Amino acid sequence: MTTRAIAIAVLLFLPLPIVIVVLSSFTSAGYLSFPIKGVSLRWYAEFLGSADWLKVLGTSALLALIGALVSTAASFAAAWAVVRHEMRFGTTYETILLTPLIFPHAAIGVIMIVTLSGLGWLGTFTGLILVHCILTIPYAYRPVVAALRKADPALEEAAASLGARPWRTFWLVSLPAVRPGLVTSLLFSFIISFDEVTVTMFLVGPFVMTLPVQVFSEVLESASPIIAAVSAALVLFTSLMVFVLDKVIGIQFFVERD
Amino acid sequence: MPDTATLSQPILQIDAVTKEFDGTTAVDRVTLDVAEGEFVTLLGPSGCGKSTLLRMMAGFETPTSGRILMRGEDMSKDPAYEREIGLVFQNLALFPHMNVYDNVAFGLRARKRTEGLDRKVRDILALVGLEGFETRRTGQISGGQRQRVALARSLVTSPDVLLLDEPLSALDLKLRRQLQVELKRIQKETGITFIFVTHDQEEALSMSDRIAVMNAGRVEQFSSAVETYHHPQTRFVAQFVGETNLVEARAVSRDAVGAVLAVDGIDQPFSVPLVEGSGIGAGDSVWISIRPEYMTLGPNTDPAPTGPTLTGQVVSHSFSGSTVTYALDSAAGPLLAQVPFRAGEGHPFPNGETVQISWAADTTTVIPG
Ligand SMILES: Nc1ncnc2c1ncn2[C@@H]1O[C@H](COP(=O)(O)OP(=O)(O)OP(=O)(O)O)[C@@H](O)[C@H]1O
Ligand SMILES: [Mg+2]
Repeated sequence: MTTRAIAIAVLLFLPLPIVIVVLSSFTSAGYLSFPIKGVSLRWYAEFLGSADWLKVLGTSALLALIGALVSTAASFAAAWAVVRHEMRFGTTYETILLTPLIFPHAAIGVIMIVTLSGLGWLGTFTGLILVHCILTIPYAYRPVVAALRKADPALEEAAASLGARPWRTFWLVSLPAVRPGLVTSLLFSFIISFDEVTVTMFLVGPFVMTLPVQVFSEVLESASPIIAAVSAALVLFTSLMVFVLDKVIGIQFFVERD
Repeated sequence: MPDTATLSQPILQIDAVTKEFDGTTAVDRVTLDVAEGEFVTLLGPSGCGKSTLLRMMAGFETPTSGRILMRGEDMSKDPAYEREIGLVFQNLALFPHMNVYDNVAFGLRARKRTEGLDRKVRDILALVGLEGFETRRTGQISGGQRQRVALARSLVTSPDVLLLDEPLSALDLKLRRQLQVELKRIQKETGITFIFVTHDQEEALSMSDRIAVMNAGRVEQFSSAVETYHHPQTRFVAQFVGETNLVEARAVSRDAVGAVLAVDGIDQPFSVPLVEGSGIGAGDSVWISIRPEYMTLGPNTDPAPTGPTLTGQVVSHSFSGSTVTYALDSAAGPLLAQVPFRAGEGHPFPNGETVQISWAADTTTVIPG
């Protein structure tokens, strides 16, 4: 009985902050408050009318897009080596790929400051892409490797015996066989990158800023309801992505072990 | 009529091919010549190297030693996609993301033979009885239909040789019998050389022109289906292909037709034919194989018939439609006799009864010891 009560409480309280943020974004007052004073869309208008906010939105979207493409491609290559070529030390290699999951983000942030400044990429878009790839690869790798393990290697032999050269086999047989895995990886790493704050905030600068980090720093400076509007937009966008994911492969994919 | 050039040169030659996988020998010095248009079966128990041999022909494995020649040219090193060899996989390996039509068209497109592609695809689908299934996904058709798609996909490019790795083993018995007949018909109609793998000896006997019986990586015998059944050359072949009685014997002497043999429990030595060059001489110990259906049983009180005769006890019997098979115990060891059974006659010999067992001497196959 108590476990049930706890479960219900958790289910109610988990989304509560989100609900509050979304509700407070519709306030007509000039400051963040809850319950809201009056209903208006003025903060959304302000968000979409602000060149600064749109610029960081654009940066985040582009960053997430490039990051997702690079991560997924790299994950596919890695998974191919591990699964198809039965790479030596394959499991060790997999563990290394997955370490960003367990490494404290603050530590990664500090390490990346050092690394990127060594490369001259600190506070640059290129630097952010590199870091976001490292952070999203663990999420991109799992669906791809799972799909590849499920795919029948005899399909490629069948294609070869029908006269298909290796590239043709790759494009027409190997890739389509793991397409659901690839789509999952792309969407998932896009979401992770688009929402990433903890490591990114170490690495942004006057020349490059992402949307979630901008939200974070605005919160520190002011309590403008525009933050709530931006956050609500983020929530909506992320939910949409998850909805698409669920439609394409089913959310089961992430919950299942491979 | 095929001209003499194609008759004299085999389409496919396996020349002393060996394949080792870190230490274990999967295929051991196999030599086979396959004639154009032939239906050859590789028959053998699980793990004897059938798939490995097939995969070397297809180009998925490289022989450790030996050569594979196609129309006289060594192709051991050619990649799979350059060989004109089709392969039907045991699990079929149909492309799951393509419909039936695209699966079948795949080989023609890959080989850039798109002229008349639509006609060819439709003709081959008609040949395997799958008209109207073009737009079905491979997941939306039955097991037997999937089998036909796999066959059509490999046949449409008219390969020189089609390899089939236990293509029917996943099907139920009835469908399997039906597809055996169809496969044979399709092979005749297309004239394509088939190399078929199975571990089912009945399937091998009913379909093949020639059978290569494999055991532990080696080919023990390569001969016509009739020859394989009636003249097994090794004990393994005798036992693996059909049921048989294997009895130890001694060659007493040679005579005009063959050898005179003595067997424990049989009073009179008897004369049996030998294949030419069997190299059996007086004093050698040998094995003889007699198929259960050549055994005759009679009441012990009957006068001894001509031919090798001995007595034994009925241990058990099993009825299978038109025949009864008796398991017998005799001085020559346990024996099986399969005798015709007609309704109304009943089982003439109850368990425990002593009976007279005999067979015609010329139905005996002699196997070197
Ligand atoms: N890739 C491989 N690596 C190591 N050993 C292998 C490999 N492929 C086959 N073998 C071994 O070679 C031997 C022959 O295997 P193969 O698959 O050719 O047998 P088969 O006659 O096709 O058996 P089945 O009827 O069960 O399919 C077996 O002992 C098998 O374990
Ligand atoms: Mg096999």
